[in-house]
Amino acid sequence: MDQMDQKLLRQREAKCIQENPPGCTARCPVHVDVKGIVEAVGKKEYAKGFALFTRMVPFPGIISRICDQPCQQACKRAEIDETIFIRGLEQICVDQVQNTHNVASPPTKNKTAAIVGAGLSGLTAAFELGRKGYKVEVFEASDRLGGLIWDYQESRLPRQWIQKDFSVLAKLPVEIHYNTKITSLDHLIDQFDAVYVGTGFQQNWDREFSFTRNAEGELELDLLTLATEREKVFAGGGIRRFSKQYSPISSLADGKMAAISIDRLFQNASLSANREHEGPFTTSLYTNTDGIQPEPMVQAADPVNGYTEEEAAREADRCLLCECLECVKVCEYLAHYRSYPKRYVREIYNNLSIVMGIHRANKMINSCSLCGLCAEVCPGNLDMGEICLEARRTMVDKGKMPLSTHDFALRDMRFSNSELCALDKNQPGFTASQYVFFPGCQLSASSPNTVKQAYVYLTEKLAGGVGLMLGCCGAPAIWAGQEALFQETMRTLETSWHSLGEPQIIAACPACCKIIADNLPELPVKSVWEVMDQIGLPDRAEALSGLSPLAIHDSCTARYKADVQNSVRNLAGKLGCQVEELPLNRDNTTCCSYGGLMFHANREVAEKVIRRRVSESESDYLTYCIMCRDNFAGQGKRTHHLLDLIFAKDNDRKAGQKGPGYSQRQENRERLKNSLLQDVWGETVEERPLDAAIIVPEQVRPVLEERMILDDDIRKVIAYAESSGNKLKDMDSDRYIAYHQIASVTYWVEYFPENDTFIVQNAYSHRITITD
Amino acid sequence: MSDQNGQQQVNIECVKCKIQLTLGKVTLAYLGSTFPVELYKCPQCGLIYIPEELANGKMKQVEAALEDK
Amino acid sequence: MLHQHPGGLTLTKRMIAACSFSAESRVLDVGCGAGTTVEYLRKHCGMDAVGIDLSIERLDQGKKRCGELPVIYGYCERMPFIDGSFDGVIAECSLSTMEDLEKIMAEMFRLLKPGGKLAVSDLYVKDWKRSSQDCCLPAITDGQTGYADEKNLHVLLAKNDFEIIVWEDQSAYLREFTAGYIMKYGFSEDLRPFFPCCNKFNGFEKEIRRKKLGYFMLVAEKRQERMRSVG
Repeated sequence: MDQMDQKLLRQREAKCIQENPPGCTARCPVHVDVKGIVEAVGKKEYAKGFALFTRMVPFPGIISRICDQPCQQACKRAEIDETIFIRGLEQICVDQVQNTHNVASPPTKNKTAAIVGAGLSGLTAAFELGRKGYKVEVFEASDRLGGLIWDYQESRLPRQWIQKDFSVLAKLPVEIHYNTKITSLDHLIDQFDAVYVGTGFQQNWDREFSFTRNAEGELELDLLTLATEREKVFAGGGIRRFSKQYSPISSLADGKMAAISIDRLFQNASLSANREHEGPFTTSLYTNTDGIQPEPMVQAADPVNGYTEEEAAREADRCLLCECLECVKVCEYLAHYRSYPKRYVREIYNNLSIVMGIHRANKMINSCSLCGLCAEVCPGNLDMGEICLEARRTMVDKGKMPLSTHDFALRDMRFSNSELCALDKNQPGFTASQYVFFPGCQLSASSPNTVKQAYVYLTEKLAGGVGLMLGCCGAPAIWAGQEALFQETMRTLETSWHSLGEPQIIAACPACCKIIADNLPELPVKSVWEVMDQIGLPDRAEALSGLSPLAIHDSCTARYKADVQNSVRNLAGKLGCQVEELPLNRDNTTCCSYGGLMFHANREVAEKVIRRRVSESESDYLTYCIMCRDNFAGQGKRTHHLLDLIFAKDNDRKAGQKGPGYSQRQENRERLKNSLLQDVWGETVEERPLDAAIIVPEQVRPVLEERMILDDDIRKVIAYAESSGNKLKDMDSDRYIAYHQIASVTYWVEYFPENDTFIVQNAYSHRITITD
Repeated sequence: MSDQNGQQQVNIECVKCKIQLTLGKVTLAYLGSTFPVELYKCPQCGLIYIPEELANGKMKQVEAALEDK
Repeated sequence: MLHQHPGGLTLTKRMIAACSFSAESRVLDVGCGAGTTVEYLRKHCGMDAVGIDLSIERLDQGKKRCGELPVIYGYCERMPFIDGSFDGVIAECSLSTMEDLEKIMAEMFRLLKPGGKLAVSDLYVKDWKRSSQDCCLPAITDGQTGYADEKNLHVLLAKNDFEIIVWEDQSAYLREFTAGYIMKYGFSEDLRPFFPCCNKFNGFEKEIRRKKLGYFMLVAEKRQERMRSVG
């Protein structure tokens, strides 16, 4: 993967914020894994919670009692009711475990550090440096450890915890000098390899250690490393503060930060490299808080001793366990792979960089519907579709796209654009067209009569000549990553448009609308809905108030097209329909699984997508893309297509019916062209002779549909077998068996001859070729 | 009784040559790789028989394995 | 039984040709299996070929097929032959199944005369560095069996004073072998039946399926003199 790719990968990955820490962890100066602790407490796994806590906090007993909790300022729950009492949950972990944490005695190293002041920051620095094996000497003016923590009452901070927490220092090479006040740092600087000053907040600061302070009273410090102006000397904790406000956790954090600096100093490494993540920050994680019921913070019955197990569990339950996953929540495809976009993007880039390796992400790349919903809901606008489409193009370019995935859809597209189905003509009596109706390949395939009626209606209502273009806009080619093929299709469409006198295109399919608008911007295109909203509905359109409220499903290709979305609703209203909105509607609509050829690439995910969408309302659905209609009806959901509602009779029955099968679709397109040529343009059309006459029994049809085997291909096989005599006979069943290669697929057919026809019993296919 | 591919013995005749199919060597090919296989074929004209289970089973597996490489 | 290695006899012939053996050369087949190569070398090339393998079952198959086949049972890490007693050593898709490649390499060196030829064909990971993101396939030198990569093999051979004469990628044979294998035995998630010649996995199945696995052939010559003093 070259440099350019790496950069683009980072940019795209960065849009997905799922891995960003929740607000609490980000705002905590030492980044305690609050989510982890909360989950552990919820499951009563206190040892686990304790381990997570002590990973960041060396003095758990003390901090769990007196932490000043900056995390609470960032708690998302505060937007709903009250913050989570994080310290209380930490406390129960500490109390349940009742131990200091295990610290192994390290092998000693040959560097020494002096720590002035045994407050929280100094002792933390001592702990961290001692743990690495450095020899540490702490100089404390008083006779006890802890500094300001002793200001807390016994009830707030039981003394046993002070003793327990600090006892870990005994296992480390840390020597404490009590009753030793340091007035000058000079001899410490001479004797030790580094010095840390943690003497706490000083009222009269001008007398200590000759440090410089600025006008605001802030100590002159490198904020990234806590290095002072004097070499080898670091400072932190209360000495940095200019008020008496004591922040135990900030002091502890300073001790850690200084220890890291000193460790790096001892190793001759850069003090400041890669330290941007230390210290508190505001997270970019987004968490949706819709629909959460307000509940107050759980109060401990005994505040001194903290939560009971039951109270802690209830409070832990209130935690939102912040994470984003906004896109995963609305997309079955993203949910299917049980992860989130940041990881998916990485996987896709890995897949592409494994040149000729085993591509496990192929299927994932090909399964996205490219609908753009994720980009809409993502706080960072990460568009999985954009990435997947680019990946598909790369795979096609490098010859790595598995042919079988899109082959059928592309062949179907070619058929739509072949002589048998394609058409571009001016209205009879016109030599050029002001408008041209472009119904799209699937509407012609599924509702050919509606196409005819709609065309006639448009010719009646619009002046200047309404031409007709039958064909496919090339959507399958784009979705398959076949750029060259798509360009070819576009050129053909453009040529037809020119030849008709550059008319206003009226498209019945929202996908065609989008694809023409995006790729041939000079071609004026409008949806048939906007046009009909203007010119009015045919008189013969039945009032459909009888229909119960219809839930409207917006096509994914109509995302951001307010004109289309509104026109559709207006038209439904004019028909007397009561329209119901689905939870994910308009710009937030979902794909029906036709987009991106998802249905072909990954049937399992497609079924999940359809199932989820059709369960969103009990009402019948209304759509304005025929593929949406057919896909939903395919799973038993009664769905109407708006054009059918306007033009067709018998909608009640049609809504409950599945769409036509693959062979029927091709036959419909071919017949539509012929029927239009005859009825509208008065041309005589000869019926194309079929290669063979076949009958497909009812129980065999589903097998052919499932395997995507067309009647025409079966006819070709049988015709070849019968004319060449190359066929087999199963002597047990008396079936004939024949095979023939068509394009890159070899088809097998089992059949019986009967009079002048052939009865198909079975058919299957493979792409492996027979060479002998 | 099963043969090498696990197929049941078949009772299939080549209609043109009017003889029963017997097992024979066939070379299959996909995406530039060729591989030998034993299939029922007509000993005279070479017409072969691929049963449904084989086409939908192992052959699909081979196609997937070679496509993914 | 389909237990031939990828490339079959065609590849064997190619490797032997690159070795330029004279007739009556003494050649050892390391991991000879059922002895098809040993038989071929004896009957068709007139060579004094012998074989060694760890599978009694396969050796028996060989002897049954062709009596008087000089193939023996034994560990390739310590082979019962005298130093420098072979003109050639051949290992076809067998090294990747063995335990200690360093030891075997040293053994093969020991058994070859100066100027003798080593012919190896086996699986390897193409583009190892680029394709291994988080997993590390074990290096060929750490004593575990894994699929080596081209560079590591070159290093190992150089270390053992072999000079590489021919290195060729023969991955097309692997694809064909894979296809043929699936047609015979079907495909299962477990790689074991996928690559019948390799019975050591150490949990790499998932990782291996991620990598670009290829097949190589190489011919190397044992240097006339050692490049460095023997330790």
